[in-house]
Amino acid sequence: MKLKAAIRYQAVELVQCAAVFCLVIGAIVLVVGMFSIANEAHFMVSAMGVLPYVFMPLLALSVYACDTGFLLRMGLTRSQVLASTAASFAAACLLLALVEAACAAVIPQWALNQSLFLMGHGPQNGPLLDFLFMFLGCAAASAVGLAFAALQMRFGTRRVVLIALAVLIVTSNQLNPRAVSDGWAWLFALTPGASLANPFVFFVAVTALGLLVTWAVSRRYEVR
Amino acid sequence: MRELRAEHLTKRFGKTTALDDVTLSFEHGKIHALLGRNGAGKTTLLGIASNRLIPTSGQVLVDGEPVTDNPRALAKVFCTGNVQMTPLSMCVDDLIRHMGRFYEGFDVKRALRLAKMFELNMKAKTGALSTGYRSICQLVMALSLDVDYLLLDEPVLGLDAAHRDLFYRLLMEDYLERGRTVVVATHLIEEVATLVERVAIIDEGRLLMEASADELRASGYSVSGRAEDVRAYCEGLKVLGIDELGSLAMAYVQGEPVRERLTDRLDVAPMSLQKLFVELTGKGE
Amino acid sequence: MNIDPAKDVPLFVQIAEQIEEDVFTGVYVEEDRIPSTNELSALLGINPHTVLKGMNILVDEGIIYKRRGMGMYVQAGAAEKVRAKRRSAFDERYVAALVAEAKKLGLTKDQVVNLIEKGYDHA
Repeated sequence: MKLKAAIRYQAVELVQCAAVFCLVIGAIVLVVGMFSIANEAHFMVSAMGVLPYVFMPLLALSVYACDTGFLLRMGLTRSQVLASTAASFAAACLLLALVEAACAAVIPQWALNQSLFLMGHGPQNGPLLDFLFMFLGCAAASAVGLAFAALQMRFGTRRVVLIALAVLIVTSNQLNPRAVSDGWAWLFALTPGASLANPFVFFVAVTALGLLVTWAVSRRYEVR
Repeated sequence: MRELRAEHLTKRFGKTTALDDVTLSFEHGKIHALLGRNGAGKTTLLGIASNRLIPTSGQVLVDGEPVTDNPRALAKVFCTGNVQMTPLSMCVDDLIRHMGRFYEGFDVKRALRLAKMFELNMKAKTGALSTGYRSICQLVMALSLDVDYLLLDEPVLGLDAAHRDLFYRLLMEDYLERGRTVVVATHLIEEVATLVERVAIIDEGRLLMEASADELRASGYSVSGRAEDVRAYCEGLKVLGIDELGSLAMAYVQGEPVRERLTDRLDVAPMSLQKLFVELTGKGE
Repeated sequence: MNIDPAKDVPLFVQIAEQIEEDVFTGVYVEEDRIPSTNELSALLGINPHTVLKGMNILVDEGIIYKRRGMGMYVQAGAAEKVRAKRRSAFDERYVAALVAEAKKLGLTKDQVVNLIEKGYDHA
């Protein structure tokens, strides 16, 4: 009963946020499109498809601490809290992916201008893979966001941000930028010969890792 | 055995020890007072019992089952307190709605009725309530629940006299109706003195005493008179404290008055629970 | 009823005393139903186990009795029992204390007797 109530509580909240997000993006695309038609200028916002991957981690960062406190207060165990959170984020990701796939299927311009996956791999891959890419991508982004939120709750914002920055700076100094960009291209199957399955496997791995970190860190979380 | 039981419970926050090997039992179906000064460890104990905190060692058992992250045990417990755990922007009526979904047997109608009795604004955000109304909001939820163990941490914090009266009356009615276990953690002893059946006193994270309210009341007395008479009387007795005022003295003694030592020049008086509590926990001041 | 938690008399004894007083003064007469444990508990804000403990003293003394499923009733002859009990306690409860205080004050026996006689005339 409690887990069901928790999923209902969180999923409603998150799906609503995701829906508002879609509406806002839709409005922007629409307004800019109309503006460019009216002015006969080829002025376009493109690659709005990247925004969900930014939006989901932000959402995770903003709701996780608060939701965890509330659900613990309502008598859930810590594992139930994580299960509910994961399920609810999956629901929000599902919504975004459905919207993405619908746009790709219905709006002719979408595949060429907005969808990250179809822009990179060609519209012939169709809405189904686009859907999967968006769903798993958002899930991975959310999991990373949750992991950060959990770390932040456990160790404090300042320490987490400083350590993350330090790690980022050190690795970017150590690694050859050329190798990094090649690596990314390979991961996302943008280099010839790379398997199209790479990004999907990558997303699943990141999701699993993110959830694992979240679980490990918030397994003994306390509300003080 | 139906009880909420702490077993060798220890909790450390960094270097401070909030609870130090506490073993005590709150028997089912009774009203218990958990007494202690600020920082004695009351809130920590209740926090562990409600899964808000995790013990460093030891455990809290509900009807024999460890409570930490155990859904079956947690379904039997509800703890109020001053720790903000509901989203700040959640309205009171939303909270009531959610309570109904999370807790089987939560009586929404009763919650609405109680809220009205306390003049709690249903549209107010839980994060914007005054201290008193934050307490009230939690008490309304607690009294509308069907759980076996109600843990009330400083339940009347910030309540005015009329609301305090109302709360004690409602609590008694609830208890008479359901006979569930209630633990009231407080430092306002006299207010709950008539209400409770058992009393546990903790101080600096340790259990000082566990007794029935009647036993506790009879467990100390005061002796006053001239300082040297009082001191002679107290020789070898368990003295909790002595107040001296010039040549007069008043001693607080644990146990029964010793008839043979009493003289006309000594006055024996009962000790209020409050005074007993202050003397028991006030060492080193 | 007036129960004072600050008094040195335990609460349950105070409750027994108060009900006994009401039986003695005729607030409750024989075969009257007296308030139940729960009613008293709710009225006074006192733990029902404490109230019950007080009631049980009176049951043991034969002042009230329990009718199954009906509540507590005043026993026949209860007022007489209370009167007898109080008479026998009068000596210990009042006379002993009076004499002790009189001795502290240095009053003689005759003086005390005089005072008592005066008190009787005024009452």
